[in-house]
Order: sequence, then structure tokens, then C-alpha cells
Amino acid sequence: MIPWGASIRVQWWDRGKIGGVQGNHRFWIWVPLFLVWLMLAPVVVVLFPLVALVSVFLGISGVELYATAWQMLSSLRRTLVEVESPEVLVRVKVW
Amino acid sequence: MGDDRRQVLEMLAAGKINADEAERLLAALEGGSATSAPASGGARKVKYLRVTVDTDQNSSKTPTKVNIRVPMQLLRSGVKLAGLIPVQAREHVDEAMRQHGMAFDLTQIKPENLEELVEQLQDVTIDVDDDHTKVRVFAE
Repeated sequence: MIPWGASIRVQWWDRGKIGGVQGNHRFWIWVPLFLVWLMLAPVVVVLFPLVALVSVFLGISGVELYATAWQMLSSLRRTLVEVESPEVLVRVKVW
Repeated sequence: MGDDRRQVLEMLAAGKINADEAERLLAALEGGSATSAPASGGARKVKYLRVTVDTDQNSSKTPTKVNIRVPMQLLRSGVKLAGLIPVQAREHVDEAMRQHGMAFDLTQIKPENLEELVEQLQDVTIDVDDDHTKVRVFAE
């Protein structure tokens, strides 16, 4: 199943001159990926004949190409990328 | 197990048991070995590839922690996608990689090869340590 959404969490700290934490800020964004797919769906449909033509020209199966792309999209679920430094933490989760 | 079977066959050859009895004994031995076999089928299925990078405060750069979890299914799909690359393009890619010192053959990357690799990955942990950085790659 393709991912429905992603969450992006950003947290940062204000550190004083001696390194202590003076402030803690965070915000969290929920990205509704299903809306993105809904918006892209007509584009995909319109491009399908072009992709099919290019696939025939290149000697590959257009249906298999779409199926593999769908599979790649679906396997993005539960991907997690987290980067943390002393000042900031960014976490992206796809679900 | 082999010894038990041999013993049964020797008893049959010596006439101590008849064919029916030998057959029953062999079937019992095979049934016993099936139930006593290690449950290798219960090995955990690898679902994610995890990469963690940890640089310490002694590094000249800002100490950073990176944690990435990638579903194995994404790697499988990537291999499938590589299989769809047209032959002419594959040759170009292989040639370009060879020029950079990587003897790589895209045609050899097949989904079944990846499945074998994924199966073995469950017991693999790659640790790279230097003075300021630790990199760990493992499957979970």
C-alpha cells in the first residue's frame, strides 16, 4: 500500500555560552501524502500513453515499469530518517 | 541419524527383521528427525536495513547522529527497477563504472540474488569505527 502520510518533526535547542540548554523549541508537520497522490494521479494517467510509447521504443514493458514504480512507492512506508546535532533534531517518518 | 538407518538396514540384511518392520522403523526415524530438526524456518524475517552514523564531539565538524531505516522492500523494488533498464543504457552504466574503477555488471543483479543476500543479512552487522565516527549497518 502506498504511504498515506509523512510526519516531519523539528526540534532545536538554544544553548548558552557554557553549553547549557536554555530553550527548547519544536514543531511538527504532518504531510498528507494521499493528497499528493490524488493530485499526481491525473498526470500519471495523461502520461501513460507517452510512457508506453517510450517503453516500446526502449524495449521494456510499460506495465512492468508502472508496477515497479508502484512497488517502490509502496515500500516507502515505515521509512525513517533522523538527523541529530547538538542544536537541532530533524526526524522524517513515512507511514 | 545415518547410523540408525544403517543399523536398520543391517538388521534387515541379517534377517533379524523383515521388510515391513524395516520400513516402519525407517519411517519412525524420519518422523523423529523431522520433529527434532532445528526450527530454522522460525528465523526472523529481515524487514529493515538500518544505518546509524555517530560522530563524537572531538570531531572537527559538529557532532552529528544520523539514523536511517529503510524497508527491505524498497531495496527489492530498486533491484527490479534496475532490471528494467534497457540493455544499451546498462552497457553505458557498466562502462562508466568501470572507468571509475568499479567492475560492476548490472545484468548480474537479479531479484533472487538480492533475496539470498537479504537472508544472510539478518546475521550481519557492519561496524566501521575511526577516531571520531562510528558507522553501523545492520538488518532488523
